[in-house]
Amino acid sequence: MSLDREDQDDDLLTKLLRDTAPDPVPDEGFADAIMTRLPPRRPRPHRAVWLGAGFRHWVSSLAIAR
Amino acid sequence: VVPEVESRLDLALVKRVLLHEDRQAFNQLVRRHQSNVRAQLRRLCRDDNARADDLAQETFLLAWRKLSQFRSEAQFSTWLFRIAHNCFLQAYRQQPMHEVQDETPFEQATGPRPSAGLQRDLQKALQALPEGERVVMLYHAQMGLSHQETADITGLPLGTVKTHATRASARLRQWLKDYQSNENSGVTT
Repeated sequence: MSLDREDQDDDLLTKLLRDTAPDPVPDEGFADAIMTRLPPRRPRPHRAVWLGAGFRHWVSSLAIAR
Repeated sequence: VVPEVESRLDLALVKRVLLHEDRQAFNQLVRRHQSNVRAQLRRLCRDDNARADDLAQETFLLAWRKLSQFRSEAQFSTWLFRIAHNCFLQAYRQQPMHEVQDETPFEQATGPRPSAGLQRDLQKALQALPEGERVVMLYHAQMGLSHQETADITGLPLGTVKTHATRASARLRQWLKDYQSNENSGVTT
């Protein structure tokens, strides 16, 4: 088989593979169904709580140092 | 340019979910990506659409829970495909797809049938590839993702992805050659 023929086959195969890509799927209520199943997101600890905890740790470490 | 705009829009929506607990923003993300994720899973599940849609629901629920783990260096779509792929692998380990248990070698399973449509037969030839090659061809050749993106989604090393792609292409080229020569000689089934 000539190189040209091989190249043509490669091009055809590439095109055929792209043409067999999965078809788009219509939503048909899928997104709404997901939304009804979403649990509440876990609340993230408030930054002030972290700062407060860090401050308390710092104060107690000073007390130990004394 | 368009994918970059799409990617930025995804990122903006993710930020809104994370910063403001914005459910509408997540709804937008689901609507934007449900088609690709469901199509991906339908192919992985060999057109068992009900099972694929169950896995797609699981994928988006996991995405909601793990959204803070999303790193913006990757495309949001690639991150979702990876979650979907992992959901598929987990389900597949628990209950393999019945066709996957068929151990018929590629060459025997895909005898050229010129009387049938070329695309339909190619689809069958793809389904008969060894599992690793089939998955790589789905992401790389059919969905048009790069080798690196395919590696990111499947968790396979980049070298393995390239090897699978090369081997699968060689098999399919041979398959196409046989198909064409049978068609030219007028073989029918």
